[in-house]
Amino acid sequence: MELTYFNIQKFCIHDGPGIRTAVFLKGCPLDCLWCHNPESKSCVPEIMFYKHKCSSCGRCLEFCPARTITDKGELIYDRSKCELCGKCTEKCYNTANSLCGKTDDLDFILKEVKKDVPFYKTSGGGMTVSGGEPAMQSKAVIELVRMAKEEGIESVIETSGFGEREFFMSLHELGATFFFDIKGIDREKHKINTGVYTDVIHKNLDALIAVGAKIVLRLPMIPGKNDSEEDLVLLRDFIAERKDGIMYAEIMPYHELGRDKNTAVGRDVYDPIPAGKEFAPKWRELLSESGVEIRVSGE
Amino acid sequence: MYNFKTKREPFARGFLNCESENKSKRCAAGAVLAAKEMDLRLDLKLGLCYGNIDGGATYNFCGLHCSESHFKRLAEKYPEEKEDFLYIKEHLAPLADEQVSWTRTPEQEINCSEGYMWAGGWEGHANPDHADVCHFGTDALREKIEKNRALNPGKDDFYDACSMTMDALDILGQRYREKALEMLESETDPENIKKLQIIARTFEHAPKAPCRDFAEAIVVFVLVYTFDGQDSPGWFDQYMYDFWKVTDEKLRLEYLDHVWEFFHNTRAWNLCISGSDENWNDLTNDLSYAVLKIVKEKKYQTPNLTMRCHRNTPEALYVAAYEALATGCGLPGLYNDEAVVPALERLGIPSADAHMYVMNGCNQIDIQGKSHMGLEDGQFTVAKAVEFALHNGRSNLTGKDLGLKTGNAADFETFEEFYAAVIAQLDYIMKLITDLSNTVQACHGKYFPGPFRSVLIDGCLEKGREYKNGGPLYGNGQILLQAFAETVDSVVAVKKFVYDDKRFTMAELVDALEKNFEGYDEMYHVLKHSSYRFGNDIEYVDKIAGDLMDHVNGHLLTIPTFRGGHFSGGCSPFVGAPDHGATLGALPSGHKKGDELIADSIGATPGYDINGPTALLNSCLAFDHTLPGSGFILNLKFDSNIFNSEIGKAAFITLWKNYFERKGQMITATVVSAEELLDAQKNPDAHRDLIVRVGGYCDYFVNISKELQDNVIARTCLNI
Repeated sequence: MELTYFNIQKFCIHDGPGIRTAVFLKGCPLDCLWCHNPESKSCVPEIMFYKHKCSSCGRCLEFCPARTITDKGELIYDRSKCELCGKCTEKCYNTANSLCGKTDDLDFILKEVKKDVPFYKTSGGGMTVSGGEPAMQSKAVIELVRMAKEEGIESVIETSGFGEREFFMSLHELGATFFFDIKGIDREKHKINTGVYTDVIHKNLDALIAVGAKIVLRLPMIPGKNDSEEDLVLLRDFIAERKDGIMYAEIMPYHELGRDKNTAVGRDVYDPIPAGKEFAPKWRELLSESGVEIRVSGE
Repeated sequence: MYNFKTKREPFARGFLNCESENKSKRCAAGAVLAAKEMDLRLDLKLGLCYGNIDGGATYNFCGLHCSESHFKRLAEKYPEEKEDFLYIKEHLAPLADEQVSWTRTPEQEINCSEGYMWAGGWEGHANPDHADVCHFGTDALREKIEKNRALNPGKDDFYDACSMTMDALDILGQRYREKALEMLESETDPENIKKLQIIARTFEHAPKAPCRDFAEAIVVFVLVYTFDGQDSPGWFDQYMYDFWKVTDEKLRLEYLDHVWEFFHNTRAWNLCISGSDENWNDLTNDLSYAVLKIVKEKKYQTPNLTMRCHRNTPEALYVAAYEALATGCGLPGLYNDEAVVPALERLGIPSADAHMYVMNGCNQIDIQGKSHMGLEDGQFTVAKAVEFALHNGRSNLTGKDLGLKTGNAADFETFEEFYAAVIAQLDYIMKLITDLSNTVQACHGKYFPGPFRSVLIDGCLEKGREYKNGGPLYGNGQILLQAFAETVDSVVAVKKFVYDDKRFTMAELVDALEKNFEGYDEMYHVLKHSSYRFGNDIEYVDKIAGDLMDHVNGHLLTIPTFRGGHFSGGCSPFVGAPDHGATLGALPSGHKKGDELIADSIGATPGYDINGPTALLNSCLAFDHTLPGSGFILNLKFDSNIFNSEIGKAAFITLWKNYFERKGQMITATVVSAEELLDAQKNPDAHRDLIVRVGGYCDYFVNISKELQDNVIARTCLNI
């Protein structure tokens, strides 16, 4: 079995307890306005083109059907014509291109994850499967978590909650912990912000709570998008109703560092959003009324 | 006899005025006269100051160091005493100039002139038991001298010289007492009065008699340490503890503050705390914590602080060390007894003494008061061996024939043949260095006596032999390695691209390297951006890294020193690293001719360890850390935002303990500064390893746009 991923990242310390290795999978059914890992959206590998590194030297024209140079001497990369041959990553002397995403056998991925076992043991860490949305490659994810468990490696699943119930239940049975995103409560607003309604997500969450799964809520807080007074009250009450089933909730304040990557994967850059860090204390204060411990990411 | 007018150089006068004596005694006579006549200063911030006039290194009291240009400058500066200085220059220089009478072989000469190796240049760092004078006093030490004189007949000159250095200390003590009393008559500042009173009361009985508390011990320590030439203070929390514990809790903190200012202002090299005894009992005490606290508060980078760790290091000490590191001062450096002690045992040092190691100089292992470890006997750029193997012994920098003729690289049919040539070149270089080091160091032993150190280092008095001439209990040697990661990356590139993938032929590669990649843009790009790099936990690479490093460190252990011990390897981040980078021609790692940027100690080629600290640690554990007995440093870099958080603290302590449990030898931790990020904007290639992490987001710093880089720099500034 195989997985398509864009990064296996060592020494992750903000994605679950201890020192972890995170497998960032390709493919996400959501389309959040503020996505900070836009290279995770597409299910297939893609070229990341860092325009600010390109010198428009034109060497890539020799082998790449997707590139042209305009009259003004500017290099244009037309993603629709790209055959993903990857030659540009090797032949561009400015390293303006990188191939994002590859598909590997689970054995290979597990071997990478196992390299840091000594660090998991002393820190209480393990593997984190993140994305994109792990539910997009559900069978292989379940198998990877099962294989890891056999090696004594605990898993954390970072998920938007948008997937089939079966997927979440199987992972729970394997002892996984869920870092479950709640990106807003208002159904219509959620649709505008993320491209999907809340129904499936909330039902999956409640199903996991019902079976006593280990759950941490993650709350991406985006100024002007999901942090109005009304949003916060709804969120507080939503958490309060589920307080016995949740270990803690973690506010993820918006930061703009991922904005750049949209251009690199050929997506439109969204309008600037103010950084969330300064609002975090206010958010935390209100959400703490839910009776659940509220943490702020990075603190 | 020449009739001196100058009072500025009493050492030289003392030395030159007893021509009939042997050199050891002449040095001691110089020291005694200097103690009697030289200007004394009592700077209440800097401590007891005396000695070298006008800041020039003419001599120190443990031996003779003559700098001709210095005397020339003096002659110009003080024309009224010009004749004296010219006389001194004329008469001292030939004696000191025996330094250059070392007979380098033509092979050694040509290899040294290339700049990639040096050997035996100076006497090296030393770590005498300065505190012996605080503990026992000079009277007791004189008794020890006399006892050993009786056991070693026919060596009176040596023992006379040793004894005279003790007299010199007594004279200085007496003069400082007088000076302090004199200053007390006019001093009005209550703080200064307190300090002067301590100095006066200390030298009422010391240094002849032992010190009675921490205040006295510090005064005498400063005297002895300065008289010895101010090298490394050594195992401070151990030898001071008896005095510390009998001193008032509030006052002793004040005294510690004073001595710390003194160490800082005199740029003391290396001070060590904590450790274990031969039964692995923890030696941490409240002075260890006090030292960490003062380092944290002052944020000074000198003296370099080393903390020893082991299986029984208390949790609180880890935390205290973390807190000091979190200030960004880079201290303490963390050493692992579990790797260092076995390494020293390999050198034949018994367990009990191996457990008494300290750090000396930058980061070099020594046994205080028992050894001459040959710090620094020599150093070489390891990657030069790859260059020689690829070009049949020829330098790719200067075109000179330097190495062995191992054959044309294009004729190596297998990787193993190429690898064997690299090993042959390495062994050849190691032989050149150790031979030369032994010759030069034997010269030092013969011509540059150090009677003072001979009293404070075990073995010398007992054997009746000079400190530099094989007297100490342990007489090993140290050879430092530079540009190791470039060596690995180059050997790996040859294996990968020439033999495994057959991407280039060896002939093409050699031609490209000779042309410094000119006309070989694509090859340069492929090599430079190869992901097969040391420091990323890649088995293919780390196997070769382990084999190469263990070969070098293992081979050095088989070579004897003239002092009666063996050489051992080490890897320290010397300020001289850029000079070594400049001695390399183009390499298969993508290193261009003369590029100064090379690996930091045992770490990766700068910018290429792109998988974070766990991967780097795993790679470095491919080496056997119980082979190199001279310091084996890994510098870990952290984003300040991470390091200064609770999560980062737990993660760092985990990394540290884990690496040490798996027998890693040393870690230093640097928190990435805004300055480094600014430099990364200008020189992205050198900083490819910088990763920006926020929550689930991460990207390489060099990949993000200028605007966002500025944003990250702003965050970093705010959080430091």
